[in-house]
Amino acid sequence: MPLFRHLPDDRNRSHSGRTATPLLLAGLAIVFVGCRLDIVRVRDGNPIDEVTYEGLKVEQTTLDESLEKLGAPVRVAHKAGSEEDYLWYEYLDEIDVGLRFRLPIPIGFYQHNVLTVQEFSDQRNKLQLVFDDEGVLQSKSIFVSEAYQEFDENTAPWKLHLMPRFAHSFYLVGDGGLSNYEDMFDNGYRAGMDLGFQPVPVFMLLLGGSFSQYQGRNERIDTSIVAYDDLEMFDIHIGVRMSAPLEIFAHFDDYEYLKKILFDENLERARGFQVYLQGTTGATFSNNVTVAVNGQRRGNFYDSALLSSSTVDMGFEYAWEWGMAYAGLTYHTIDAFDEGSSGLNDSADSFQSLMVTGGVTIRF
Amino acid sequence: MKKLVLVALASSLVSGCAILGRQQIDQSISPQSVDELRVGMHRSRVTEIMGAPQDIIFSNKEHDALREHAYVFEHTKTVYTFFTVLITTFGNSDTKKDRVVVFFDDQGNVSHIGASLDADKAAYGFPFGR
Repeated sequence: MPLFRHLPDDRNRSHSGRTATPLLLAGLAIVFVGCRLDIVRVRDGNPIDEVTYEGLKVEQTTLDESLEKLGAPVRVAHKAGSEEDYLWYEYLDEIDVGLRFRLPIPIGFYQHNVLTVQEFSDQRNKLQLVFDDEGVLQSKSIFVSEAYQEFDENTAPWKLHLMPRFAHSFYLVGDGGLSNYEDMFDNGYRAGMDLGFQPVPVFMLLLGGSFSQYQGRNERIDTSIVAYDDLEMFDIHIGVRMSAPLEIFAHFDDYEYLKKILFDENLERARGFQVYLQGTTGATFSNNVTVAVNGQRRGNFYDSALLSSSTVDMGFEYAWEWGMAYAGLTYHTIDAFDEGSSGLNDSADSFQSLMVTGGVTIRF
Repeated sequence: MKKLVLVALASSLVSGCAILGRQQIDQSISPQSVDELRVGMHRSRVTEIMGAPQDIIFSNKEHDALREHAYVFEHTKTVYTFFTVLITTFGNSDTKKDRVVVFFDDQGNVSHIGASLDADKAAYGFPFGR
């Protein structure tokens, strides 16, 4: 890598971190680029009303009363001879949850699936009623998924979370131009605040901002000492956060459990230790990063710019009634910085940072 | 409507994409026409008010296998929401129906009426909740 844009690269790099970088990038690519989480749900009809069902009395309730309480049935059949009417009320709830790991680079339009973990269920809750020729209920039966039997009408419709957080980087990845970012800047921090909108226990929409700072370093390149200014960035972002109890890993093949967890809407049941996965995307404003060679200022190494950025977080959290505390890992990536006017080789790749993150949320 | 605005706002701010779709099958059923139906009304009057039924339930009686036992009127609405952000895709399809079932006695007069007008309750949204 040449010091100046027009000079050949005669610098012999030797840094232990560089040998690990390709492996790390490959691992991150498989996990974050090739990984896809799909949650698809298909609903048809209205949920079966168990309370109304309990109110239907065999040998007492009439067909007119049933139709008034339950509405029109989905299916009707008439039995000749006994002149009985069969009525069915049905509610389809189909869920497809898939975690797919693909090769990060497609071959043409084909992207190979390395691993797929998928849970699919096509479940039909149903209620059957049989009426005699006088229109009086003779028998009744019901099937309702266990996941629907603890429905609480009084649960809050949504909650807001105020989420201050702090992250400290422990590894910088990417070619900064003259050197890798880890040689140009010290590990820095990213601090900020999110506002979370939580309609259900497992899911939250995020809107927030952060300030990041990475202190510039001095490095020797050939016979020159290159000194970089600090890298400072502001970002705003939007994202999603998914949380689930730790037991979800042990019950991934238990559909009823999964359904209770993933599709519960009682926010009061989100308590205790949980695992979270969070993704954000947004815009980052970076400052001018000046550079000096052998003590002589050479202008901007990077010009200030507005860049796209994103993060992926995963970790553990503990939820109380009033909020949460959490800790985890963050992968933060920002588009390549704009080249400055220094004349040095400042053609950079994207800036990537691995961070340890912690924070609390206040729920109201 | 609030969910629709929420999804549209979210999709406009992230580097993902959103798909909002709607499918309707057959004509909608108006509450006014359902209110006009009365017990004792002949089935010809029912079809004057409601139009042709989508389905007919026959009695299957030995001496009159094709006696019309009930008419089914139906209108279906399905709305789709697909929302992708980063590595996660959320998909939701919600189908609701307007459905009216009119039962007839041996003389072809209305004996019972069941109606559910829920098609307009089909909602855009995320695949969570009940």
